[in-house]
Amino acid sequence: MLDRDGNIGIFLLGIAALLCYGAIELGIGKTHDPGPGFFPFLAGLIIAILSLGLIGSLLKGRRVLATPQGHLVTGRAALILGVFLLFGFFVEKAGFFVCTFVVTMVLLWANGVQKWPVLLFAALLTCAGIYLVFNVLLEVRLPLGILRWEGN
Amino acid sequence: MFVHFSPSLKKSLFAASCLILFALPGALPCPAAEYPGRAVDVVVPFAPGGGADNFFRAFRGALAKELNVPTNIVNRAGGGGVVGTSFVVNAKADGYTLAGFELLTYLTPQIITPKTVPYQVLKDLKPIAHLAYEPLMLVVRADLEAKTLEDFLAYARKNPGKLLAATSGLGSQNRVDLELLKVATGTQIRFVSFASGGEAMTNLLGGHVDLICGATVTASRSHLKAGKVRALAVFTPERLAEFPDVPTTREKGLATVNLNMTYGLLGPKGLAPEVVERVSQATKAALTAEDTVANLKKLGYYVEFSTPGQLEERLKKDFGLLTEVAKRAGLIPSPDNLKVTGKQDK
Amino acid sequence: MDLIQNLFFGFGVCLQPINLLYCFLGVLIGTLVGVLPGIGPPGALALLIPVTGQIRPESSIIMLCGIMYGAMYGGSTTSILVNIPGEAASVMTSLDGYQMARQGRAGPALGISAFGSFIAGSLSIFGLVLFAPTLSGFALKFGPPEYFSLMIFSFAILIFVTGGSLVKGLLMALLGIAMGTIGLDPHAGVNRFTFNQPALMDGLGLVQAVIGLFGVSEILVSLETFVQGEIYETKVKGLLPTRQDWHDSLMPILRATGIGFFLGAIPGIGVLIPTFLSYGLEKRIARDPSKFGKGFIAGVAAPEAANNAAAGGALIPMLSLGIPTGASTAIVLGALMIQGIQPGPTLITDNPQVFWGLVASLYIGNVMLLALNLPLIGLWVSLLKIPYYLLSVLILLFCLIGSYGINYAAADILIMTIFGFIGYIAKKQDFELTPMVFGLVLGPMLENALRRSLVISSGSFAIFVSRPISLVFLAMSLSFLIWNFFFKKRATTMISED
Repeated sequence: MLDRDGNIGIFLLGIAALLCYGAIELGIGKTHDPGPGFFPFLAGLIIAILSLGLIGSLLKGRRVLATPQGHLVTGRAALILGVFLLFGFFVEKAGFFVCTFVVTMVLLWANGVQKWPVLLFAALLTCAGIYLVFNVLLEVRLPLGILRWEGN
Repeated sequence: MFVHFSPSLKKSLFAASCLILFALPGALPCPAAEYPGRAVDVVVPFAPGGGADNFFRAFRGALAKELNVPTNIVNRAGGGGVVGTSFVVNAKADGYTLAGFELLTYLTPQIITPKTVPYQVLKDLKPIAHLAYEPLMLVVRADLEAKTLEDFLAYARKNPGKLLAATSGLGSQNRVDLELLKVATGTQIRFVSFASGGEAMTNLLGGHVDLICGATVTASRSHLKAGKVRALAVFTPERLAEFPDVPTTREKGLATVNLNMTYGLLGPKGLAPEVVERVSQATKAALTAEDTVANLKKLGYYVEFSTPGQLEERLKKDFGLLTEVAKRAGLIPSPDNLKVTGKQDK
Repeated sequence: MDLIQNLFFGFGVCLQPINLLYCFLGVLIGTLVGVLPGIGPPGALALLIPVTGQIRPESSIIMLCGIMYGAMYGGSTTSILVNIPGEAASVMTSLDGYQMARQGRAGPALGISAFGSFIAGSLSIFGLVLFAPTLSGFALKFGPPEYFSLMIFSFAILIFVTGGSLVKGLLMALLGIAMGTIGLDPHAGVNRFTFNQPALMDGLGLVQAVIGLFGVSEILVSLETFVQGEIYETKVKGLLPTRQDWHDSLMPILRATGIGFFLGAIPGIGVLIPTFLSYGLEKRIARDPSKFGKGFIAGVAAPEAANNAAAGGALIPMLSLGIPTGASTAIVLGALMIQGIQPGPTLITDNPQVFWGLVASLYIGNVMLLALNLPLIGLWVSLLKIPYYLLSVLILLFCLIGSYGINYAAADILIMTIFGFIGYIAKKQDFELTPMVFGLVLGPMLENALRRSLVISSGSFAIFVSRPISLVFLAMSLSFLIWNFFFKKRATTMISED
């Protein structure tokens, strides 16, 4: 495989292809009467050209091929992004506070906090603080999900 | 890796915890009594500052007074009103979440872009009350040769495809009213879409377009008075007291061009009849209070109350009408995909 | 002279204790709101409109404008401290501002930001008073063809400002443009790339994209290399701008004020373009352009001045024509109308106390912002001393809540996360982020302008050169590009975000 930039170039080439395909589906129209697909198609085309340029400069050996250490996406980054995605999926069902609670614990743990009582307490504190600031002070309704009880 | 809590960090954390834990008990809510036992949210599916939002904010105080509980405006903008409306469709039908709506923007997405609307307008929300309408006018740029409606129509007939109207989006009032005008008069007027009424007006003032078929009085008032634009007709049944020289479309034989901005309240489908009745009564009281009427009138809104039943009828009727208009204007997509022709008549 | 008399009148209205109080409240709330990403000025203004119903028109307008300005400054604060622009206006500030914070110079950065905003705000108020009628007339001449040419010009500047690999910069810009097409296409009524999700119908959303692209990615990258003290230089080097800082910043501030003010008066231009163009200009004419992006104070001073000036300029169409130029002005307009006041050509004559009180309050609001925020600089700087393993968690939670708070839509969190991923990869592989923001914002504007122009001209491309203003911008773009590529060595140093 190519180095990272090259891989990115190949990936983007794929994206450009999908983009152009989607654009054609939408209808490109004519130059003097552009359809909804006109701009996306143009963008896709240019992205394709640029991606080829990116890959091309590698093949021409113009860049230093010192591959950096380790993976492009580290475990911790993946974990954090992953837990964010989960937050997004569950926030309306399980409620804002449950999700924040879990996320706070995961984030702190990812940063090296090992002791459970500390994790739990910090997460609780954070949730309580957020509740105060948003629900009470700003009167913003955050979804309660499973914490829903009568009168709220 | 090592994590250690420095003494000062421990102290601040302790202080913060105390603060929060002490404040918490006072903040917890308590259970509700009969309806309305607590604050009611009116969800406006548009961003703050827009026409619909302004209306509901102006009306909110009167409604809160009649309901006897705090009434909040919650903005959930997006998708031309679809996002906020879906929110209410899916909300608990306990009467504490209501939908503020504007008639055209409520009905047209389902007609024109049905795949984007995850609910059925005539079924998934319960009509509660019609509240008010905001008059719309046909305004043209001041330096247009046509000085009256008749001149304008004559010009349009003689020069098909020459006039350019500004609209604020696919299903917007000014687009629909334009199509109604074209159908009623048999003229061909081109249009260009902008993102909002404000943008449309800016372009009219700049002379980049010729007319707006459906500008609100509020948006046009100062420009009319300053002579920068001219109003050729108003779409209400009777002439406006503020602009007595502007004829209505009805008196000029164009009674079908009569869509104004119409505001009302809806609730989730399963709303209990008592709740609907209660809110309906509250709105009626709010709308008949003299100061509310005067206040809203000052802002350009004309109150007009309807019962839930009447509103339901109106929605059905207008839905049919709009479907017709959309078909004639070529706005209805073909059944298998979302491609829309929207071709301009040239 | 009439003008002076009116100004005194305005100050008289504004300096009443009750109005001073409202001004202060507005500025305070605005700053708090600006610091919280996601809940931007529109949110805060909306929350407070019911309150304004109870108080007199002048007071409510004074408070609302205080919020607007305060929010802008708050947005700059997070931009500088943690590289999370509070809103589009602060994106350019973060380029150099964050670097300065990491070098222990958060104080001077915040300081020059406050002072620069103050100077720009005050000057633009004078501009408002003196030029409003002429400028608004001029601004109206900007129709779709003129917007198109202005966008092309901005892209030409982008090509210059993008250091490093041009290919990578353009890739990011075009990806941004492509992502900008997601949503409902108003001309044809089709949804583009939305996969039938109502949440995507309005596009991806700039704020959540920026929070993810800049904020989340920054934390992710920093966490990989941190050893305490390496992220933020712990020895804080002074709290206020030094004499040298002032020397470097004064002219940029003045130039940026001019650019920001005039461009801001064009309805719908927004703040990104003025801040971007002023940054680009400063970099172009600087003696040593490579300093930009590494923590050069002019890189903070110019965008900050530009965005305040642009906000001031944006008030011109609002006040003289009753046309809102963005979400914030729309709300102020709405609040005015609820009070029964109709902005427009007749505002000055019908409601002089509102107009002049407003003008005076803008000035006083600026003073209050300065007074409020300078002491806070010490507070912010000490916040940065929190151990990074905790600080990063707080910031991430901040981003999470902020992106959710925009519209209480779970989809926004997903969007933020995806952009966080994109930003993360981009930073590690030296792809610049600013072009992507540029593409996201300007792509739709460019496309709309193009399509509308073609409708107006019935398909003829001649419209772009037959109209004078449009022709001027196109000519400028062309000459700029030619000059850039053939006559001057393009800046080869990178604007690093890291």
